Amino acid sequence: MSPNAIPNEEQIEALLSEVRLEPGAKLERRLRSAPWTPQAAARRRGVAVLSIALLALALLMAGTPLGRAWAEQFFHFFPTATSNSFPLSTQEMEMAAVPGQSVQPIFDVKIAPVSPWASRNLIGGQAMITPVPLAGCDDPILAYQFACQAANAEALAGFQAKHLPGDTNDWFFKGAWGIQETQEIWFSYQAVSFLGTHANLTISQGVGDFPAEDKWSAVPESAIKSVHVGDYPAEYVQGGFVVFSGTTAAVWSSDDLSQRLRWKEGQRWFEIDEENAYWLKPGVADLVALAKSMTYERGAYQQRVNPNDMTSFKDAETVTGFDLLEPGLLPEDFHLANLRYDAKAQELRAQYLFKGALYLPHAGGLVVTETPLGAVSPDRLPEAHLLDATGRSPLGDGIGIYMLAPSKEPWTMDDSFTVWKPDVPQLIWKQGGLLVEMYYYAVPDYGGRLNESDMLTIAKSFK
Amino acid sequence: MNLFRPFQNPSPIASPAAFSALYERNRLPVFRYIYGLTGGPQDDVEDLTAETFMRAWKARQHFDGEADAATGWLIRIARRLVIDDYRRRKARPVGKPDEAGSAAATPEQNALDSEQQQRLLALLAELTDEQREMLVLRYWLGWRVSAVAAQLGMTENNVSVTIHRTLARLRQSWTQSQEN
Repeated sequence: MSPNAIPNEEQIEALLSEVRLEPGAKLERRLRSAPWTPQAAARRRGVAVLSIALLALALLMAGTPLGRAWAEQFFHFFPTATSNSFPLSTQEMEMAAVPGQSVQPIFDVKIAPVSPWASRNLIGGQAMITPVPLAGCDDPILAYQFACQAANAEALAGFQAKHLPGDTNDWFFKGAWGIQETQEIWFSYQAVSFLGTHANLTISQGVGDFPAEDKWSAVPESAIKSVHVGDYPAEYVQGGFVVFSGTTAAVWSSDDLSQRLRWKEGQRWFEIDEENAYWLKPGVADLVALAKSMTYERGAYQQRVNPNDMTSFKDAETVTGFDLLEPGLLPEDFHLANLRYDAKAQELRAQYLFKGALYLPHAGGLVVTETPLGAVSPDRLPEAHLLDATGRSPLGDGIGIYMLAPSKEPWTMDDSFTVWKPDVPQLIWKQGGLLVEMYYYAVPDYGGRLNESDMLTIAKSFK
Repeated sequence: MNLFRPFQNPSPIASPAAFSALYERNRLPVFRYIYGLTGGPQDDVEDLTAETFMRAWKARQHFDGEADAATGWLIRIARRLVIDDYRRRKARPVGKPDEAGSAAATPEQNALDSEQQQRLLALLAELTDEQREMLVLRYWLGWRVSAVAAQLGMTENNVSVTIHRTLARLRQSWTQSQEN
C-alpha cells in the first residue's frame, strides 16, 4: 500500500495488528531487583521484620562488655561472616512467618478533636521523640525541624553529631534519634520518586567502636570494598543476608537493594545506610560524596520543605500558595501523618492515620484532597456537578456535601497494599474556593469503621 | 459489613516463582496497553508498566481468580495507574502522543514499521478513551471480542459495533488529514 493511500477499514485493522511496540532496557533495569525475584521477595517478607528486632538486640549487646569484645575481634569496620549462609533458628523462622497484614475486628470509631501532634514519629505506639529544653522546640512544628531534632538526639546520646550540610536534591531530612544506652545518633532521610515510592537513607554515628552486631549484619569478606572518605579509610558493601521462600537458611545476596558505607574518624564511627532508591541508583561514589560533605556546623544546615512529606499546614500553605482547610475533628486517636502537594494538579493531599500505625505513605486511613476550584480538571468537575444534582444532604452555609455511591470495584489499591472496600465513604464538597474530597480507606491493624454521619461530622469541622 | 476481605484460598500468583511467570507472560501486553492509553512517551510507559507490576505484587494475596484471569486483573491495575498518572500530570492529557516526540524520532517511532502506522498512532489519540482502549485490547493485545467485552463490562455485540464504528471513524479522519 502506498504511503499516501487511504486505507479501508480492513487495512486499518491490519495496520493496528501489525503495531509491535516493545519495552526498552529501562523496564528491565527497573525490575531487575523487583520484589518477586527470589532475593527481594524473601527479604521483603521476612528480613525486614527480623532486622528491626535483631537490630535492637545488637544495640543491646553493644552496651555490654561481651558485645564490645565481640566487635573488637574483627579487623574490618563490618563484622565479617564466616560463611555465605547460616541456618535459621526456630524463633527466626517463626518471626519470618509473621504475616504482613492481619484481619482485625470492625468497630465504629469515635470522633474527637484534632490533636496538634502529628503521628509520623510515633511508631508502634511509642514516642520516638522526647521534647527537649531547646527554645521553641515545644512547638509542634519546630519540633520536627532539623535544629530541634538534632538537639534532641544529641541531648540523649551525649555528644555533638556530624551531619549533612543540608537536604540534597534527592534526600529530605525526616528525623533524628538519639539512643542514650549505646550513645548513638541516627539521622533519617527520605527520597520520593515521582510515583510516590519511598527510599530511606540513614546516617548513624557513635563514639568508640562500631556497635556489636549479629549474624544478620555480618558481611562476607569478599563483599567488602575498600574506599576512602577524604583521608579516612572506609568500607563499602552492597547486599545483605536474605531468606528464600520455603527455606530454613539465610544466604548472602549481593543483588539486594541496600548498601552501606562505614568509616572511622578518630574515636568516632560513622555509617551511611541506603535502601531501595532504585530510581536514583546511588553507588559507592554517591555515598562517599555524602560522607565527605558532612559537617559539625549546625547553623549552616539548609532544610528544604519536602512537598511529598510536609508536617504542617503552614508549610503546605507556603508550598501551595493558597489557603487550606483543616479539620477540627477526626476519628479518635487519628493524627496528621502526611501532607503531599502535587504541583501540576495543584492538589494538596492530607493523610490521617491512627496513633501507633506504622507510617505508611498512601496506606489508607482518612485521606483529604484540596484543589482550587479553578484548577480542578474537567474530568472531575462534571462528576461533582452530577452529584450536586442528586440533592443528597446539602449542608448549611451553601456548602454542598454528598455521599458517593458504593464503589463498583470490590477492592482498591494504594501504594502500599490493597484494601477491601465494599464501599468507601467518600465526600466531595466545595468550600473556601476549594474542591475538597474526603475518603476513608480501612487499613489493616486498625479495623475502625466510619459511617456517613461520621464523615459529615468531620467534614463540617473543616475551616 | 466487613471492610476487610477474609483470607480464602491462597492466591495462584502469590509465590515469587508464580509471579515471575506472570510478569514474563504479561510484560508486553501491559506495556502495550499503557502505551495505547497514554500515547507515550516510552520512558513514562515503562515507568507505569513497572509500577503496575509492583502494585500487583503488593496486592497479589488479594487476587483469588484463576491464574489465566490475572491478565485482566493486571490491565485493571494499569488502567487505574494511567488515570492516577493523568490526574498528576494534567499538562499532558491522556491519549495525546508526546508532542516533543514529533520533532525527532523516538524509540517507539523507530519501532513503527511504516509512515502509515505512525499516522495511525496519531489518529488513535483523537479517539475517545473508550474507543482507544477497545482497539488496543482487540488489536494490540490480540484479545477476542468476548474477552474485550468481559473486561469492559459490555456486551459482545456492543463491542463489535463500537469497534466497527471506530474503524470507520479512523478511516474518515485519515481522509481528512490527507486532504489537509
